[in-house]
Amino acid sequence: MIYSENVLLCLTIPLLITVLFLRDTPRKVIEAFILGMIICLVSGYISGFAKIASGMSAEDTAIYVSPLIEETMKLLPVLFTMYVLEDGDSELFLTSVASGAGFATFENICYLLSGSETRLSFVLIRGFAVGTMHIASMILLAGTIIIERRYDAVSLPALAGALAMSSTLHGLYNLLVSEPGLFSAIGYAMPFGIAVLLYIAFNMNIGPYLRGEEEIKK
Amino acid sequence: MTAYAHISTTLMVAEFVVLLTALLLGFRLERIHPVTKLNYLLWISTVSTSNLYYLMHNLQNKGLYLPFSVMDVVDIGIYVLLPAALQNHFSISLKKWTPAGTAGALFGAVNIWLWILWSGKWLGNLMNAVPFIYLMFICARSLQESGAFTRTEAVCLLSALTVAMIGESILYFMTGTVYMVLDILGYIVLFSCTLYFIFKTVDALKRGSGDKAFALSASSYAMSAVTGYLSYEPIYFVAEGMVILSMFLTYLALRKKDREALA
Repeated sequence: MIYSENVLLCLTIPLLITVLFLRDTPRKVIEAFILGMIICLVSGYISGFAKIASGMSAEDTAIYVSPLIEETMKLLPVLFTMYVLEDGDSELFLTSVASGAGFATFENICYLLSGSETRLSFVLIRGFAVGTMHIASMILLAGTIIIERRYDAVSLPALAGALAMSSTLHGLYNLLVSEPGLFSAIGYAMPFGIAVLLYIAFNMNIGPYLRGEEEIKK
Repeated sequence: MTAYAHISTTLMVAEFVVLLTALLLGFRLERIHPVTKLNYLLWISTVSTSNLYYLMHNLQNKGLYLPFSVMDVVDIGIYVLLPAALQNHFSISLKKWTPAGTAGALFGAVNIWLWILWSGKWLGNLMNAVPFIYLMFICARSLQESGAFTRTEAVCLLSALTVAMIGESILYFMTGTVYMVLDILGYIVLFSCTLYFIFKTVDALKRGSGDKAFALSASSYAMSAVTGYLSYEPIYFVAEGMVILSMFLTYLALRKKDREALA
């Protein structure tokens, strides 16, 4: 059996060495990517604990509790970037998306190594659905917070709202894919559909605001 | 699927349509303060995605009730975003505790206690306690700031709601005829108060100011939610219908405010 911790070490060490030779944006991207992988592992620990503590089945924990834990954990690097590093909007966006990508990558690797499914079709679904879902939810989270920042409206309620949005998206995905047939099909298509919509939005007028590249008209 | 699940699904579809309409139209409110508008649109978005979640849960025949789940955290977002919009709109300070605000906060706290008592779900309800008290505090303060009720109306409403809360608390420990009488009394008082809030909102939309309509519509939503949470099916569905109506009234209130700013 390959332990998740070993996978994390194996992936992180080369990336950490890479970080030593990088500066500015590429460095931040890799740091956030590593952070995303660590968060994925810690979320797994907490979900495991929640499963035992609540007495829920593994499936119910995955449907009802894991989205809450994972999205809350994914919010932490965003808050750290905002309040501790006091980074600008574009850095905040970068950190969020890269940590989301790190989270999705680590989860996918662990899934593949667990050997539960090896067919190419499932591997592709895993990549396009679950992988995209973590990135899309982070874009949604970061985008909402950046817009709030632009209007000087970042407050506890606004952050709770952003977390609620990303958590619902994640929860809805987990709920849909838990049932076979049409529900699963909708669930698997949903993250990719949202990613396409976000991509279109990014290439329209709203994009520069979300990326923190332009001042918003108040 | 049971008959209740069918009704519930129909209501959820109706709610989703109403929310989507309010969301799309809400983007066009150009003369509302940007922070108020942002919090309001976030609230509508959160409620609609949450509604979609419950709809899918229902369609999967997983039952009408959820265990402790991600939706308990989503509820926090729902409970704080609307009052955040109200707080910004009326410039309400959380440090200033007026009698109206205190009464609202107490009403929120008693409701949380009742939900824990009746549902036994202490973790989710405790997590929602502070956000729900915040919602009730801000609603009460905004009603006060906008002068939505006369002193007599406020005293009558407060007395009626106090009776309802005491009745609902005693109800838990009762059986037989006393239970039935208190139960019916509770329904009558809660539904009457909620309908009065809705009636006042419609009246404010027709003749009053946008500020008054916004405070009243948000409070109508809060009251409808309280009535729903303290009701069993099939009466719960009536309260849910009032929730849908009051959510659309919040949009109409902001549109009124938007038009007032133009004039």
